[in-house]
Amino acid sequence: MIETEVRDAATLRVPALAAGRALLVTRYDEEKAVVMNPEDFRRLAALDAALETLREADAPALTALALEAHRLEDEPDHAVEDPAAIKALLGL
Amino acid sequence: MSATAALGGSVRWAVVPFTPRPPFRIYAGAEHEPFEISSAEELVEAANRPGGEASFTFLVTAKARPVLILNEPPSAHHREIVALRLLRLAKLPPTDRDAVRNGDDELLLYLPPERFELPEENAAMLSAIVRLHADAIDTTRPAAGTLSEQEQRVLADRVIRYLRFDTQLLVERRLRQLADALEQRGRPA
Repeated sequence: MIETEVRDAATLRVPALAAGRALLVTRYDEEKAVVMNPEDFRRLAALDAALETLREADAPALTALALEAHRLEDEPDHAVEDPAAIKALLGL
Repeated sequence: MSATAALGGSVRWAVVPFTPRPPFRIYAGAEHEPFEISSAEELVEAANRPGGEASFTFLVTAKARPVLILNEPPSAHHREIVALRLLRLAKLPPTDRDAVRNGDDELLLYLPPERFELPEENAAMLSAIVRLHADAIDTTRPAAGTLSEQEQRVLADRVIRYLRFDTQLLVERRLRQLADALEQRGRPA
């Protein structure tokens, strides 16, 4: 867990930071930047890169069988539009 | 439609039907008034009778409107996508408009006019999910705007949480994969 210290940008002199510490730079209450120990940064960057490799790694592929299911079920049959037939089918 | 147009994450104009609900109106030819069916139960009951597999033409209201598209068509043979309807901010009172602009409501994703070329100021409604065929989307003109990759991640996270999908198995699998990936990176070459 990285401990975060908040400082106003006007007072900022970029210091050396020990591992496990970060400096959050703000201006007018807006967060502008974070200064951190290079080792911590590399660790976070590695974690981020590892997460990136996991994206969509296991998304199920649309198989030929799944596509066939769509072909069978997605297109409507010829619609009944005759009033008498509709009445008979719906019991109206 | 252009075969190369990227749809996922873009705001585009499309023909979007409103969700059908009772009373259902069934087209009965040009010479006859549509039949009006007051409940879903009547149609389900008829569907379970002999010959009930017949299809009817339902009259559904639709309009051409911009939508935020969430994904690419899955394949050349299955080209249905999921999209979000938009809210026009002009319909809200001023205080609510500011709340949307400030991102105060997780279910309304603000689309800044300087990035999204639409006739009005809009927000995407995360609770208004529609399914569309890619051919119902106008891709002859450029997208009105496109979300960044990070914005699309935020959007996906919110949609999953809104729909209350149970992601426990996915999270467990990803944690195992992450542990493996970090272990691989830590090994000397």
